[in-house]
Amino acid sequence: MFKNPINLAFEVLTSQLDEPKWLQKKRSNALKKFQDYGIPTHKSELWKYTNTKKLERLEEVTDIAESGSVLFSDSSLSEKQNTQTEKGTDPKTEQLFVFTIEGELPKNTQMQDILQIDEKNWKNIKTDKERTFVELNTAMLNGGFQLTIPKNSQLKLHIQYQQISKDWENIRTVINVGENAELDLTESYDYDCRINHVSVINMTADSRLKFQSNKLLRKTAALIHFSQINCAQNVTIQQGAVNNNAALSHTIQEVNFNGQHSKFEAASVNVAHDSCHISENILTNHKVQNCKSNVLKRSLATDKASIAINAKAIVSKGADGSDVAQSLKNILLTDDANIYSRPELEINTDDVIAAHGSTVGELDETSLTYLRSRGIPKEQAKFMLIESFLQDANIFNTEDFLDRIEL
Amino acid sequence: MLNIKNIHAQVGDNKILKGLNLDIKPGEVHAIMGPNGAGKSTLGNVLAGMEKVEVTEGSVDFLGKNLLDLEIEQRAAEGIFLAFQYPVEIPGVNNMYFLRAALNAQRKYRGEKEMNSSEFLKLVRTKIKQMSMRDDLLRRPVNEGFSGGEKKRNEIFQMSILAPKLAILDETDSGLDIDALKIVADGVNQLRDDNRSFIVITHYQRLLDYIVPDYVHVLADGKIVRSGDKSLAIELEKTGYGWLED
Ligand SMILES: Nc1ncnc2c1ncn2[C@@H]1O[C@H](COP(=O)(O)OP(=O)(O)OP(=O)(O)O)[C@@H](O)[C@H]1O
Ligand SMILES: [Mg+2]
Repeated sequence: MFKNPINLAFEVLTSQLDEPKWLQKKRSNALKKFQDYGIPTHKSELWKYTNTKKLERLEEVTDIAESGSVLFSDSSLSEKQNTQTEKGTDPKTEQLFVFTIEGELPKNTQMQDILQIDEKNWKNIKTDKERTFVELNTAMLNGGFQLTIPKNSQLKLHIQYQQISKDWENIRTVINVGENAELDLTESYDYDCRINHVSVINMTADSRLKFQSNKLLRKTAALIHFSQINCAQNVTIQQGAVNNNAALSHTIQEVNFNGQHSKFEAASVNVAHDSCHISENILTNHKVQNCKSNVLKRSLATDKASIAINAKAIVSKGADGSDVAQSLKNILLTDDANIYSRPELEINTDDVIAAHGSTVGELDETSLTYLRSRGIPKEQAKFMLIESFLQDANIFNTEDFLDRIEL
Repeated sequence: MLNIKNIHAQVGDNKILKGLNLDIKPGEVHAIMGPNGAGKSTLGNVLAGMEKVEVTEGSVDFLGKNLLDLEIEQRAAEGIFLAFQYPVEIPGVNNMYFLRAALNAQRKYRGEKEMNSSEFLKLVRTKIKQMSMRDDLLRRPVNEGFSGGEKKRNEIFQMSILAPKLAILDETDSGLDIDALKIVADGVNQLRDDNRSFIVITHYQRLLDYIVPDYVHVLADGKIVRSGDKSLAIELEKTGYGWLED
């Protein structure tokens, strides 16, 4: 992304593609915007504590995914997937994502290659300096899909995003969840990735989403993620996220309430070691009345790692009956670790229930001593306290919640 | 079993224990009384190894080992148990999980086989009965939301599971209702045997009606200033500590 002059990389990419004019135009416009915005610096609010210079120093990805099976329980979908790979030289390593569907795939589920969609189906995303990588994603897009789940249906889906080249993968995904449909989605990313992911989920009225995002990354990996969720009325979303390590893992999430009586409940865990950096930024946008957002984050930094958390809720004028909660708790295990934690409420109406809290501290010494006084060795006692701290964010109450995290 | 020689200890610059001596043999129960702020809890903290207390002089021998060389958790595994005057609440850590981790850590340290969950459950069931503990307390996080008395009983419950060689009870009787006091005393008496010793810190002679001590000591201004038998506690109840001034 940064090693070669971006124009050159862009030319190399686009010259290989045989794309419709409108998409070519989108790409070059996006590139221009990205260059106008520039790489975010400490002057941008959401990047203040993220050292983007790190991106320049990243080594090439070494552990390229040996992507094997693309699992589909439905043949129409896998055919579409295959058409995408036909262009490639080796379909084995050409898969940017692997789908695993549990149970039945609902009839009339639609799946399209993002690079093959009609112009009218392409939705622009509003960007600004903070969201400059969304423009880069458009300019350098090398894969993605648009998935539409029909109304009244149910789908349980796991998507694994893969690293297939030595350089950045720019992936865009759009998921439309139909009226009264239910999606149980798990997303995970290649351990050793260099991914710039833009994802949009559109929730139609009365739809439900159970979403687990796993970013369990190598200490040299990098992941930039912009995620937007748009909610019509009466939508229910539960979201769990686990973020572990990475040289740089940066997420901006926007949740837009466009219809009344929708609920968004999110819990995430961030654990960073060595000189890893994780930044999680969430904005819940209460544009209409009677919606509820509840954001909980538990973060732990050790060694020289740093974590930056921004949780912001905006309640628009007239959006009465909004219910907003933010709970950010952070633990530093070493003197060299850093955590920045900022809850923010911007409330422009009267009738609102709002609660927020943010703490940064160390492991509780008194509790630690109490556990040790009963014979539990110090390291084990620390581990018990860390585990119980992070368990707050176990939104789906799964037993193996912390199993794959390096604690 | 326990031999404390000329212990001086301080917290920060505050000198609290000033040349304290105490000798405890296997099977003995020693009561320690004395005015507020005399250093009774500090003595318990020195024995249990709390890091905020600094020992500047003296020695403590426990069953042939230099106790002051050992970490908190090692002392526990060697058989020291301190029932805290103010037990700590630990949100998120389940009581049963905690106790089993503690018991198994101690057993591992001593080279004994760890207990599996069904063996542990069996042990807990018998102790719950003996201690008339409410079993829902065990399913809750350690001490979280427990009443004062429930916390104290939980300490004694832990003691009965961990079966230490030397138990130090720091005002375990304060805050207990009369029935709970009897239950706690029963718990202690059931554990009394020829090899196990107790240090019972209390302000009230009443507890000593139930747990009959072999010795009663008065700790004042960082030292043991008087020792006697059970009758000393009765005398103190009448006279108070005014005589210390003279
Ligand atoms: N962490 C501490 N920091 C400062 N001073 C302390 C600390 N711990 C104890 N002290 C002081 O040491 C003295 C002895 O305290 P200690 O708790 O041992 O008394 P005690 O005999 O147990 O009293 P009580 O009967 O009220 O429980 C007191 O003056 C107390 O204020
Ligand atoms: Mg005390």
